[in-house]
Amino acid sequence: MIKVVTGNNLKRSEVIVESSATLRQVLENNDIDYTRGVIHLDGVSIGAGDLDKTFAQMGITEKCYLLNVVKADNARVIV
Amino acid sequence: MAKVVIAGSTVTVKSSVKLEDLRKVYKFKPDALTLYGGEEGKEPIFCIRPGTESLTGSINKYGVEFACKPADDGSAIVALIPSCPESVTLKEFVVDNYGVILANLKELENSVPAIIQQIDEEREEIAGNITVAV
Repeated sequence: MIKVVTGNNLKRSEVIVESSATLRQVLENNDIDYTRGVIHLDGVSIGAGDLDKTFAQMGITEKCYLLNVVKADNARVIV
Repeated sequence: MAKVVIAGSTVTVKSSVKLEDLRKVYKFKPDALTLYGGEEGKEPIFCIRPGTESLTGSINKYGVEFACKPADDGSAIVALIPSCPESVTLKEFVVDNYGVILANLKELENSVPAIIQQIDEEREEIAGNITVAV
């Protein structure tokens, strides 16, 4: 079993999942919108196709962080 | 409580729960296979799951994923080959390193029979309310 800390800029939660669970399943089950921002697995942004890989396939054995990071430009004031 | 059998360097944990019962509970009440803790008692700390792919299963401090096939008597099992140092016996190593895991496993195993009964009663009630039109 793998403990996954998942979330986004605003909230984080801890879940325990099977190693055969995919990254997409965990994100969807925890209502994380992965269409916005970049998905990071243990601090590293994941690539195309990785969302449907299992944690075992991604080399995770015990614990990991799976986060959606949204970076927004600073607000610009136009005078 | 689960039985642990050591054969050579292999450790097999044989649960007191049948794999089919685990699958039933996981299908209808998956939260019942999770121990919660933390400050508000909402943080999952330990889970058990019936295996789907692995023939050995896996076990660590966050939970047990049983093998996809049961023992001959239908019990859920998980097998592992731990890296035991030569200075201690494998039995001592298992007690020291897997004792807490086995204690958590026992707590969840003890709750399974009552949950199975509850599931069966609910299914029976639902089935009783279904009428097949002829």
